[in-house]
Amino acid sequence: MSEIKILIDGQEVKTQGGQNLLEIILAAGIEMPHLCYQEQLRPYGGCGLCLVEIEGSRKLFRACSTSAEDGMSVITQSLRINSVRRQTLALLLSDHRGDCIAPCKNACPGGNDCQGYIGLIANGRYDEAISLIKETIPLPACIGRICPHPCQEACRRDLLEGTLHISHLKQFAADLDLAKDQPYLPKVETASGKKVAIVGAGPSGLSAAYFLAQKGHQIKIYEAMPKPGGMLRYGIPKYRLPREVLDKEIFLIEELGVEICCSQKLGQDIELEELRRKYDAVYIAVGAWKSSPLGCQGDDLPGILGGIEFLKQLELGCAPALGKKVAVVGGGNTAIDVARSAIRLGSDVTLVYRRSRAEMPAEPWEVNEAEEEGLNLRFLSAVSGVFEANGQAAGLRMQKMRLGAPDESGRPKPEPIPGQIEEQTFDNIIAAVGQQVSGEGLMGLALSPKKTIVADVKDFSTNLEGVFAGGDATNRGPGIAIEAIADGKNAAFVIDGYIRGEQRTFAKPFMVADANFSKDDLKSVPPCPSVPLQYQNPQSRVKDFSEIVLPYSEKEAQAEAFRCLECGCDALYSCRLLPLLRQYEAYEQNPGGSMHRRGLDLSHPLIRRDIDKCILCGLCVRVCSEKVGAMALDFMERGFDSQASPPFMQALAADADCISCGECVVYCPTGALSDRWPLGKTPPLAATQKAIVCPYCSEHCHMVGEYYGDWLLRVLPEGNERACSLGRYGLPLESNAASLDRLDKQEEMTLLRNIQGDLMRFNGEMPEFVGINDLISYLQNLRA
Amino acid sequence: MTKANNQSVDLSPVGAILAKHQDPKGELIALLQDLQELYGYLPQEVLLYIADKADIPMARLAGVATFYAQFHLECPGKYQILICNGTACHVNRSQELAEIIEDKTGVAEEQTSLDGLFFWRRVACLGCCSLAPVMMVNSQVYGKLDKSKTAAIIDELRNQERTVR
Amino acid sequence: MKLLLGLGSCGIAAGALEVEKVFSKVFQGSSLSLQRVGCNGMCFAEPLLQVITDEGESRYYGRLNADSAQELASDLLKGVLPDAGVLPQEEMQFLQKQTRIALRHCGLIDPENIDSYLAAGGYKALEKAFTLAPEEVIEQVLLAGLRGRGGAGFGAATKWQAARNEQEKIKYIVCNADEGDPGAFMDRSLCEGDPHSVLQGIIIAGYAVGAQEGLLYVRAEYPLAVHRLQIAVRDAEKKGFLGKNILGSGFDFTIRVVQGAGAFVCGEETALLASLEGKRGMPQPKPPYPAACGYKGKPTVINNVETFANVPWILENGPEAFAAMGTSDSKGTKVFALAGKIKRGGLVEVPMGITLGQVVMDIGGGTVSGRPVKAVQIGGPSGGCLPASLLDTPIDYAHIGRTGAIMGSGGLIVIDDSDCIVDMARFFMEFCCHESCGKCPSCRIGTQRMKEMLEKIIAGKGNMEDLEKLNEMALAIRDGSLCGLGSSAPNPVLTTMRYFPEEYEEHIKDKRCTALQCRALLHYAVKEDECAGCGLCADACPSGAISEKENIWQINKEKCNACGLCCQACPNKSIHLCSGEVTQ
Repeated sequence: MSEIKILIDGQEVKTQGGQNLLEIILAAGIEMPHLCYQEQLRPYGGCGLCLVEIEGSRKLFRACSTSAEDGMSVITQSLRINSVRRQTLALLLSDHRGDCIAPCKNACPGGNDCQGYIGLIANGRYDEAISLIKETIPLPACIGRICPHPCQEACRRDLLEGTLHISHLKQFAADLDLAKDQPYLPKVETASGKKVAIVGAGPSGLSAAYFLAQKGHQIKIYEAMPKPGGMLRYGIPKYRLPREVLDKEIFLIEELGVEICCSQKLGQDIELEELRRKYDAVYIAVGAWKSSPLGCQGDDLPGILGGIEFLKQLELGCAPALGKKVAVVGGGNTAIDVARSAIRLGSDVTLVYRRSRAEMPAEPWEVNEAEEEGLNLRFLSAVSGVFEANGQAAGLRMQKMRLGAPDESGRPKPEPIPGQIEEQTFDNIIAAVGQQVSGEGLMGLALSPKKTIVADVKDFSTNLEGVFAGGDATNRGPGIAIEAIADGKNAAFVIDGYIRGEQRTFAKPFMVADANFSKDDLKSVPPCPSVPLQYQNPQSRVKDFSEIVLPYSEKEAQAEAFRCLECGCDALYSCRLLPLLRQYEAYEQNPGGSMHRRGLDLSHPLIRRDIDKCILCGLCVRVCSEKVGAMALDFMERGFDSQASPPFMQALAADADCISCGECVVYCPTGALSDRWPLGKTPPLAATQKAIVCPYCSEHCHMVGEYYGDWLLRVLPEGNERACSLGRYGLPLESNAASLDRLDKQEEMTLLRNIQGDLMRFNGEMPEFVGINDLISYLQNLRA
Repeated sequence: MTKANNQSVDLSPVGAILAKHQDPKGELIALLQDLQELYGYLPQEVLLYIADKADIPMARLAGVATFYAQFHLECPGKYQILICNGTACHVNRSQELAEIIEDKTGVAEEQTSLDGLFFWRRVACLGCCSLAPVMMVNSQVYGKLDKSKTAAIIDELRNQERTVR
Repeated sequence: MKLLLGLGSCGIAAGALEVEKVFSKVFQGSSLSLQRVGCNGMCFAEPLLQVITDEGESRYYGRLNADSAQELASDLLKGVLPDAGVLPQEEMQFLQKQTRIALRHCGLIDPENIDSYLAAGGYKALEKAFTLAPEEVIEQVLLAGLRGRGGAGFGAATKWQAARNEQEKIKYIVCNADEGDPGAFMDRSLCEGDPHSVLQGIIIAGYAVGAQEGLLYVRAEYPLAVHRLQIAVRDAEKKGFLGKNILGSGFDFTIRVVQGAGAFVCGEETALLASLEGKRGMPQPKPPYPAACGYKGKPTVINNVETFANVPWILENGPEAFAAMGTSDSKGTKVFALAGKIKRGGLVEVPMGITLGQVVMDIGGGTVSGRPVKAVQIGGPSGGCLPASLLDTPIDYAHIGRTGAIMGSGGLIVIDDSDCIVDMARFFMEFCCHESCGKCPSCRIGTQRMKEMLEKIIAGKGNMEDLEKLNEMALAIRDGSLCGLGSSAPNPVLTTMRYFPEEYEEHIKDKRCTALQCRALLHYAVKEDECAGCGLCADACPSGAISEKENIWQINKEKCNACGLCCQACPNKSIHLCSGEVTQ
């Protein structure tokens, strides 16, 4: 082949004649999106992404199927080309059904990989589970206990027997780790020489410290209270979060080199200006510690306690003694926490709330538990005044309410019933109607009308250079702990950049989500009851502040974890479509357009088929035909309803020509085809790759192992090589042999047959096996 | 000869058809056409048999059989009604024919009626545009149709069946 | 006296076989007999009998049925040439204004009898071809300026020369008779009416290129064409026009008739080849072009039926005579299949350069309703709807291309104001969507989405942003598709949006279909001053939409779903179909 010269985007490139343009462009290091092209296979010309303009023609050409000619001038990027690419990608997305990440992970404000750690727990990989959890949450034992778990609201198992107890499983993994002599600690990079001051050792501050410390920065947290923990210690009662647990987890953060100085209040013991001078960056996470007043006549009478105030004092040991009859005004979690604490202190407690039970912001299970403990509930009663006796608050004047039309929050607006006023005396009145930022010590910082710190939603910056803020103290005001933790983590990312001189913002990357998922999609899932949480019985648990929820046993945890439907895509880290969708901002899925919903093919023990994710690039068909020669797959039907599938869309396991070599999985650019484990869960994980040599015969094929920690996830052939099915599936099978009892006899025999399906490269003797255990012993012997 | 789906298929004539084609894989479409001519459709058993005897991968067979509109994988009715969906016929309200046929046969498009008599679908232009709208029943072409003429044709076919029995 | 009865597919569908039976019965035992011929293209007058007297006078008796055939046969037997049933001069213009090159024998010879063809001068061109060197044959075709008649209009000689240049010894000729355009029947008529001309063209091409085998790929939906082509091949072999050492020239050539299996996309060259090789008809990237690497990897020339049918005439009459007709970039004639709301529909062969108006109005006679022409659809699903204002456009590749449509294979559908343009666009998009092979996301998913958007507009649920989206998507599909099906699928939408934007707007903004075709936008209304007050309409209404007020019955627009039962039930015919403010 003679050498020729072509121009690519104006640059001269020398190449061999006869090559296709895409090969040349990629070899020159120029970016060119492509999905259906693979150099070992004949060019297909399907996806239409590798379009180029060629001087002298008005058409656009597919670079993969256009031969280079001497003197050709090629343009790889233009408005026209990019517009077509964007449309094509949007069209692909419009018929691409799936979820890049599971709805639980998507719903978690902190982006915790619930599907990931639940899968690891199911597989008995507890060390890997905690290390995965700690990639996003530094205080999992605490969060697992107290989070209102938005992840569970999104869990699709709720369409069947009930959501997974994701939170409790997190607690299980975290507690297991805390019980070790050496609990898990993330790696800390070499010291950067930079220092960051954090104000507030609550969940947000602790989280920021945890992540910044890992980057090698020196961290000092200034905490106003005598002990660290913020609301975790001073706003949440012990029976929900035992202090030993909190202390242990904070200690692990300190082990990363974080210094926590308590009894240092901003504006009193330290000044913001001083911090700005001494440190490279400051993160303010002071929380919202002021109780909102009742907002009625008499609300300034002595003797009325704020809800937050009361809990704080209780923790500090200086709470006033409560009388026999206590009123707690409010409907949120704080009100319930206050009420249940008061019950444990021996009082007869009445909760007064102006709307009905259904509108209470408190978590329903907390209200139920409180009722079990003897809480009196008084709904549709608005406090219209506090009456006094001897200069002290002595009781409440309550206006009876009824539900009217909905207000802006969407909830029915309560209306007073004229003439119906009641009065009741109480020994103590505690107002738990809201939290506010106290605003002390925040001089110089711009505040919102609500008195919260104004922090940019994308980069947590404030009006002061180098000062960042997050958590309850900012913008919308108080949220839940996991939101504060998420802020800490994301702010740490931005601050780390700021310190290095980089502009960073935090934005949640685009993910594909299935908006129309319904119970019908779960038709073939066998029923499995949820493992309920166990509680101490109400009569005994109100006697003290000991933890009321009992932890899962290992057996319970695994049983519950096994219910996970694995909604998130297997190909999250290897998908070649998702990066293109993001790059070209091809986000609209055509609303109202028809989308195929054909469901999963889980018939094959080693290969999972999710045909609704298929983009019809044809790589599986072509590799099965051109490279492997088994011809087990082809396109079926025509046009919009085409599928790349076994004959007549039958199940893959019934395909007589399939030899289970797994090459189709290797080449599939999306999650339409993936490796799966019949012995456990297959959580998508960011794996590290290590070169390995297959140990099973003298061929010593070069393979690539994908590991998460020490756990071998899967083995792939290296480069364009082909592996035999033993090489591909033998090692992972061995490393999961402990779970073999999960299979029934038929599944076992199918697995046995499939693992020996493609022995083309195997250089050895294969005896007859009676069962999978024989095969595994045989493999182990081969290795020895 | 058409066979109802629940009867087993007689494979003895397949050998002769296979022998006609020197290169079964390369002449796959012609081979399938001959088989469909014989059986009225392409029974699964016949396809499995061909895959085996002529050494053609089943996936390839299935891919070809499902691509082309001509091939039926299920036994169609005794009377195959093809309503022309060409432009001239469309413009002359061929859609109304489809509505009447659906009504009179009692089945949706691409389905066989329960009595096994009728199967209907719309097809690409039959090339008889001057007679629009047009439909073909087995190989008989009917042109210049309207709702009542179409209904009458179906009634007539039904009557024929009754008298035969 | 010669009696020629037209027996093409539509003649038969119109009842020509019954007519033939009647004549045969009457003529039994006499010296008179009918000669079967192919369709001459006067489809509006079928069943058609042409009588040619011994003096050479020609009379056409049209629209025959069993009764009129009986009378006519009896008259002819008596030696009488009746006037009743003769086509009037106005209708004869249809034939007289044509220039029949490709269609020269259609309707004049018996397509199932090779002797009929030979008597008309058949296979003379082949004899002449053998006196020339193969390159000289190509030269003739080049000088004639023959462009492919299948739709793309690529120079035939260029293809032939490219194949000729290939060193490879084995070569093929493929004739594309997979006429998939809905509304086109030129190729069918040629195959049914003059199969030998097609064969002759293929053999000449084979000689010119150096091929040994020809494959005739015919649509399965054309059983009569397949049948007649098979007979023709068999007869040609018997007479030595096919086989070894044809006419003593030393040239060997065979032809095989192969049937398509119902896929419009197989009209595309590489998909056709895939189908010939027993595979799914999915197009492949070009290059390599079929002329270099085609059937079984060998150089293959693929041309349309009509292209081949022109070749013998060019050789017999010389390329200059061919090039003398037509325009500077489009030489010769083109066969059109005129159909739709046309008064005189059928096959029309005219020199290129004639205007659309001349074809539609002068030859076709305008609309059958007498109402003005609203648009002419040219080029099938790859073409466009041209408004009446463009009727003066000359028909050649360049001029038609500039309007946004394409010449296409020759289908010309005429529509009037009772046809909805938006529905036309939807109809073609549905067709492309159904015929898409599925390879490219642009076409596979794009045509589906465009179809859905058009359906939404027709259902009265569209908004103006949809038009923008349609346009954006159309341009992306055009640029992003691999083959002609996908890249031209948006043309009907683009041309209708360009020339009839107000009709789209009416459907969207006013929820009105002026053609009274889009069911979701229609409702019935009672004409008050014609209402008899009987209430039969209300009894018939399945939706309870009709109620009475002061002895006048009224239909609730929102409840009405335009089923029409009330209209049928009304004894006074006072219920009319409406859309928006438009009333029938």
